[in-house]
Parts: sequence; C-alpha cells; structure tokens
Amino acid sequence: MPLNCARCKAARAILKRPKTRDALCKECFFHCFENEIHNTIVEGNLFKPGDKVAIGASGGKDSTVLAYIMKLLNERHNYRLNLVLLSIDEGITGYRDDSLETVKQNQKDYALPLTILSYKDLYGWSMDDIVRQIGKKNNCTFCGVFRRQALDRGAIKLGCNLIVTGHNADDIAETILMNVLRGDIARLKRCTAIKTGSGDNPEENVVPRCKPFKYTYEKEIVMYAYFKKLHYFSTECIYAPNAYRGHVRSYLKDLESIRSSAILDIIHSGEVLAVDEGIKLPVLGACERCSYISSQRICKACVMLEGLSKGLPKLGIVKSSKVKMIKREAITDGKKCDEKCCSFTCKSETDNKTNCKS
Amino acid sequence: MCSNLDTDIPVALSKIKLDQLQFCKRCQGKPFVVIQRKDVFCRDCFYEYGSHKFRSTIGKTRKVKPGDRILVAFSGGAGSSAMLDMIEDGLNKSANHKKLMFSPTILYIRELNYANESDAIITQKTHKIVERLKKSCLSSMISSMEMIYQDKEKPTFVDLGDFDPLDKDCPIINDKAQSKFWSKINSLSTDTSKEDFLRISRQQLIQKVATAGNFKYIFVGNTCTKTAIQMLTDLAQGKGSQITSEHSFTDSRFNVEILKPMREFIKKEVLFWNILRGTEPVEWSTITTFKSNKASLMKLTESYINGLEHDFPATVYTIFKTGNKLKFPDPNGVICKLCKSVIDPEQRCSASNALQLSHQLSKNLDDVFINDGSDRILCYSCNNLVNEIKIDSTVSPQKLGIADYLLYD
Ligand SMILES: [Zn+2]
Ligand SMILES: [Zn+2]
Ligand SMILES: [Zn+2]
Repeated sequence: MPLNCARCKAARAILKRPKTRDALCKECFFHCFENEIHNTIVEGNLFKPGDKVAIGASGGKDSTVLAYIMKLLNERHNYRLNLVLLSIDEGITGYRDDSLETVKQNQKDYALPLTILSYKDLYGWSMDDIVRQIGKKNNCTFCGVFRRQALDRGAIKLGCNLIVTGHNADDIAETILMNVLRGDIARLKRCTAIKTGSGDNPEENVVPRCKPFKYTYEKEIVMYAYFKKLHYFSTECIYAPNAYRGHVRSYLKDLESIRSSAILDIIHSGEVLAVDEGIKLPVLGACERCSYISSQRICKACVMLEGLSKGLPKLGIVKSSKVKMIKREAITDGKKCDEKCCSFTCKSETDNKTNCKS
Repeated sequence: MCSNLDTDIPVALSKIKLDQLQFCKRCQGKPFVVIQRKDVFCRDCFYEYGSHKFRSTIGKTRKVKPGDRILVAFSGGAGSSAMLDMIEDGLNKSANHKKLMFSPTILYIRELNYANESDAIITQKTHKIVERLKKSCLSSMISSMEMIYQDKEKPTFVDLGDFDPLDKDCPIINDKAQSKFWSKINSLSTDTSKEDFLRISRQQLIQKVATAGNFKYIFVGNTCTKTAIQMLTDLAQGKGSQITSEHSFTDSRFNVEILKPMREFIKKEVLFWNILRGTEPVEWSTITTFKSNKASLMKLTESYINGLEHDFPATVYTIFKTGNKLKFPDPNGVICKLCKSVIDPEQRCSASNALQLSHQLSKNLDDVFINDGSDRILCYSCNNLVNEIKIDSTVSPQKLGIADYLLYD
C-alpha cells in the first residue's frame, strides 16, 4: 500500500526522513530540509548583509550540498552575502585529482568563484610527500592540522571575513562523544559552538567559522544530494582513517538506529552541559613562529613541520620528552621563523600583504 | 567529512595479564589481583586497599556524621553486594579510626520478572537474596516495584521478618498495583524508554521509603564502571545537564540525598572483592538481558564500553573523570515533573528547537503546538520518553495536553 506524505497528505511518500522517521514526498522533503537550514542561519545569527563568505569546498557530499544550499538560500531569502568557493589540495594522488574536478564542476554549476590552495604551496610538503616520509600511520593528524590553518590562510587571501564548513550533526555528535571518551574538557566545551572565532570569545580559528549544517543529519544530506541529482565525489580518504574515531562513528550509527533523535539528543547534551569553573582550560595565545592562534607557545603545525624536516615525524603527535626538548630548543634559540614557517606569514603581515608564498 | 584534527587519541594497550613474576606492590606477597598495569595486590593488601577506599570515599566529603540513619539500597547485584559487605565489615572493626559510625538499614526492592523467566528461577533468586539479608546483622526492609502505585493508605515497605513471598496478604504484594505498573511499562514503545521509566520509578520509590522512614541519606552501590556506562547513555538521551547530579558522589535533586560510596571502584575490583570475601551476588535480569546489543541505548553503550575497555583499559576511568569536571545546573530552574531534574533553559538556536522544528515541518503541525518554553513541565529527555508512549489511535495526539502523557498521576 503506497504511503501518503505526512506533510502534504496528497503526494505519495518516497522516503522516510532519518531525523523524525516521517514519510515524505520529494517536494516536502526539500521544503523541510531547506527551511530547517534557513532557520538555523536566522536563529544562530550566522551572517550579516555584506559578509564575504568562503565555502570550504572539498568536492564531497557535505560541501557540495553546502555550496548549493548557500547559493539557493542567499538568493531566496536575500541574505546579501558574497559567496566564494575555497578548496585545499592536500596533494594526495588519485584523491584530490578527481574531487577537485568535482569542485570545478560546482564552480560552473553554481557560478561561484573558486580558489585552490595546495599544501605544497603553503607548507612545502604535500600529503604524498609526508606519507613517503612517515608512512601511513598518523598522517590524518597532519592532514587535519594543516587543513585547519590552510582554510584560514586561504580565506584571508581572498579577503573573506567568514568561513562556512560542511560539518553536519553527525560530525558534531561524534566529536562530543570523542571528547568525553578521552576526557578533553576544553574541546568538549567548544565543539558544540555553531560559530567560532567571533566577538569576545576568541577561539582556535583566525577567521570566524560557522556550521549551517549543525542540526542536519548526514543521511539527509546524502538524500538531498541524491534527489537533487547534485554531483559530488564520494570517496573516503585513501590514507587509513583513525581506528579509534571509526569505533566512535559506528557507535553513533548504532545509537541512531535505536533512537532516531539520538544525534540531536547528544548535541543537546553537549549544549547544556557546563564545565566546572574550577577546571583550568588552556589559555589561547599566538604561536611564536607563525602567529597562528595556539594554546602552546609553538603551534601544532610548526612542531609537525619541524619534525618532518628533522626526520622526527612523531613530533606533535606523541607527547614525548623529545617533543618537549625540541619545543624548548625552538623557544630558546630565538629564531622566530625558519624558512618553512614563513610560508604562512604572520598575521599582521597578511592584513596588507596577500602573497603568502615564500 | 574528514575531521581528524585530534592528536591525543587513546593508544591501545596490550591486554593486562597477571604476570607470574609480579608480586604484591605493598608487601611483595603472593599475587591475587592486578587492577591496572602495575597494581598487583595479595589477598590481605587488596582487602586493606578496598576497605580503605570505601571509607575514604565516604569520609572525604564529610557528609556522613556518626549516628546518621542511612538507607542502603541493595539489589543483590555485584556492586551493592560488595557495598553491603563493606558496611558490615566496617561496623565490626575494632580499630576506632577504621570503624564506620553511621547507622544503616537495608532496603531491598523486589523487581518484576522483566525477562519472562521461569517461576523456579525467580523463586530461587528471591530466596537467595532473602537468605543473604537474614544473615546480615543489620535491620532490613523489603519493598516491591509496584509500590510506586500502592494504595494511599497502605504501607510501601515491610520489615524483613514480616515478609513472605507466598502470602497474598503481605501489603507489598499488590496485584492491582502490579498490573497497573505493567501496563505503564508496556505502553512505552521502546526498550530504551522502558529502562528509563524503570530507573525513574525506582528512584522515586526509594525516595518514598526513605522519606517515610525519616532517613538522612541513601546509599546506592553504583560502581565507576556503571557510572561511565550510564553517563554515556545519559549523554545519548539528551541528559547532559543531569550528569553531575546523577553521577557525582552527592545527588541532591530529591527529598533525601543520595550518596554513592562505591563510585570509585571499577567492576573488576568489586568482582574480586566478592571473590575474596565469598559474597555471592544475584543478578536480576533486566528487560534487555537476553536481547541483542541493539535492544536499547543502555545495552548498546554497555557492550560498546566493555569492548573499548578491552583494548583501552583507561576508557571507564577517563569517562568517569570527565563527568567529575562538569558543573551542577542552576538549582533555581524549573523542575521536571517526571525525573525531578532542572529543565534546561531555552535557547533560540539549539538542538532542542531544531528537533521541534523538524517535527513541526514534516508533520505539518500548527505553530501553537510547539512549545515556547514558558509552559514546559518536562525536561528534554523526559519529553523524548513520553513521545514514546503508544497512543490510542482514535485520539489525535495534537488535541491532547501534555499532562495526558504523564506516567504518574
Ligand atoms: Zn508532501
Ligand atoms: Zn601485599
Ligand atoms: Zn525529566
């Protein structure tokens, strides 16, 4: 027996919404999906007219749908935003080659300007170079730390005052669980923020970021892309993802299969839990080498780069006495920047200078 | 999306084994148990370690004063069996500074036959628990889960000596109340909400008894391991702000404060304590005992943590410590009618509103039905709970006020 749509009661339902398990027709699903994101943007005060917004575009499903929906809502609701696509090329053969093609297609389809920056340009090392140096273990850490800074660097270069990322509800719930499991109270407090790096609450990022998909289920993003026939590149990174995170993700999927609201329930928990004021949280300052915001004197990327060039790739990944030793050395030898570090120039410089290559 | 921004991810440790070459870390005696990688104890030193930890957990908060009347909630399980043994042992100590000075009474609550076990098994388990209580030097009281719906004028508990499981006139055996309780359980559509409902009911019943008996505190036997599992389950149920009350040493949400003297013991320590002391716990089967790991959020989380703990032995302790760093919510907030926790303050951009909007949009409900926050009587997670009550299909749920969804009158 064909089921009627729970919303319009007229059309035949073609899907069951993962978030609420309501049966919906295609048009009603689009309506719900788009309006919920619009509502998040309005209630969360994510943008103001005139913002120049960099959309972190990887060619994957989240960022492809994000680019599409940002363009759509910007026109429909007249946000008056200046949208641009920003891609980072990690330099992984066979991974980005294809996904960058997808981003270029997005650029054409949505008529949004696109900029591509590579790790090689920014840091002097591509991910393939790094893997050649350190093997396949731990490289996700490099990739993540480098990407975080790369988006900031790119956004500054493009004159953007805001970055939007495709982090969805599943990603955020997973991060909350992850931070509880490893007792990272500082990140636990920060990771639910829909907007970071703005106002009197300086966060890890140089350029403020926001997450319009904070309450959007990953499965619904896939459904939306499927029914809208959006072209995205779906492949997992060829370098093995972290096994521990994999455990957390499959636990989250199981929770969702038991109770569909579980993902939002976890985010709610994250939003309302408060950290005891007596607990010391790391104070954020600037990295002595590259001026990137960091809770340490030398930021993670600089420690990692130093490790790569000195043949100690575990620097910044494992806390060892060796790391401390090098950090101390780096501080005492007084050299603020070595060659590689200059490739991501100091913050003051970037205000008037956009060329960041050494 | 790839978001491996994290570096300090726990590293798997090889499984900890009792090494023949290791000896007790205190006296170099014959090894009995290894707690963490290097904590090897002989029998005598493990006994000292256990009873010291129990005493100091109670002592360091300075809450319990000599002579305080304490209601000890005893389920028969491993945690509360060890707790009962430690209390009895502590009361009999000769050395003054090691002697426990409070005045305990045991409360055993008879559970229902949730897993549909045979009469023989139920009778045998009940017998074992009752015999354990008779053996105790402490006074004991018995209640039963259906007492949550006991007739107003009747008692909700009896002394151990007055209890006979076959006596139909025993006030704590009430078929009418029991069938009412069963119908409430069965009206819930998922095992997750059934477990949640049972937990809330149990908590309320213990409160009822403790208040009637004029007790100062309630002791429950929650271990560190149980705390970690329950905490993660609570997180997955939207109870983030309740974690502190629920899982710290003191829970003061209710009339009588609940204390958790076993909360620093991991499951392994409790199991070895019971072996050492020859106590035999009786595990009462729950709704999900014989079901798959995906039967409920609690069951899933339990198997998930047990699996992780195998490769990452610090898992339970890390979760436990994370919980200790959280803060109590503002006590002046509105109290949830069901679980008595503080209702989370309303925020415009929140998961709570996002979920409501999703229901509103995809079911095409009127705006009127959506809560504006001012008239909320249930907390976020209890709201989820009542949404899983099966509703008579002839009545439209939108037409009903939220009060009709309440489980208690
Ligand atoms: Zn429809
Ligand atoms: Zn010893
Ligand atoms: Zn509640």
